[in-house]
Amino acid sequence: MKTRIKEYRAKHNMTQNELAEKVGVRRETIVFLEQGKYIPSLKLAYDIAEVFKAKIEDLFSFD
Amino acid sequence: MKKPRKRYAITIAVGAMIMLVGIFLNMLGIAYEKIASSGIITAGMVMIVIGVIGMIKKKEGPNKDELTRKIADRAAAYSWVITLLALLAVFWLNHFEVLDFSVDAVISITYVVMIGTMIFLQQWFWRKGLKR
Repeated sequence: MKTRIKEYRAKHNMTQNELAEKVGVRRETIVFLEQGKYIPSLKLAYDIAEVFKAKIEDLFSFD
Repeated sequence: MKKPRKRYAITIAVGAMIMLVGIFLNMLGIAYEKIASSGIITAGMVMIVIGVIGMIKKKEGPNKDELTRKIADRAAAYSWVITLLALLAVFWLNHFEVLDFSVDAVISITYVVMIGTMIFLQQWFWRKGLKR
C-alpha cells in the first residue's frame, strides 16, 4: 500500500502529532501509515481524507 | 446515573474486598471447605479483571487508537496459540515421563508463556507494523 499522507501533511503544514490528534489516533499510527506498514480501517482512511479535504483514493493506493 | 468509569472502579474495589475476605477466611480456617474460600478469591479476581478491562475499554483518546487495539488483539491471539502448544508439549513430556511437572509448575508455565509471549509479540508488532 502506498500513501500520500506525508505529501498532503506537508501541503497543509501539519505535523504528525497534529494529524494524529485530529483523527484520534497515536502519532505512531500516522508514522506506520506513512511508511506503508499499516493498512488503516475505512473509518480512519475517511477521517484522514476529511482532514485534508481529499478523496480516499487520492491518499491511498494499492500495488 | 453513574459514570461508566466510576462503575468499573467500584467493581474493582468490591472485587478486591471479596478477594481479601476469601484470603482471610482461608488464613483463619473459617471457611467451611477450603474450596469455598478459593471460590471467593476467584470471584474477587474475576471482578477485578472485569473492572480493569472495562476501564481500559472506556478510556478516551489515543488509547482507543485502532492500531494499538489491533496489535493487542493479534498479540493475544498468537500468544494463546503459543500457550496451547506449550501446554501440549508439557502434556507429552509428562505423558512419556521425560519430565515430571507438578500442578503448580504447569500453572506457572501457563502464566509465564502467555504473559511473556503477549508482551514480546506486542513489542514485535510495534517494530514491524501490521501489513495485513
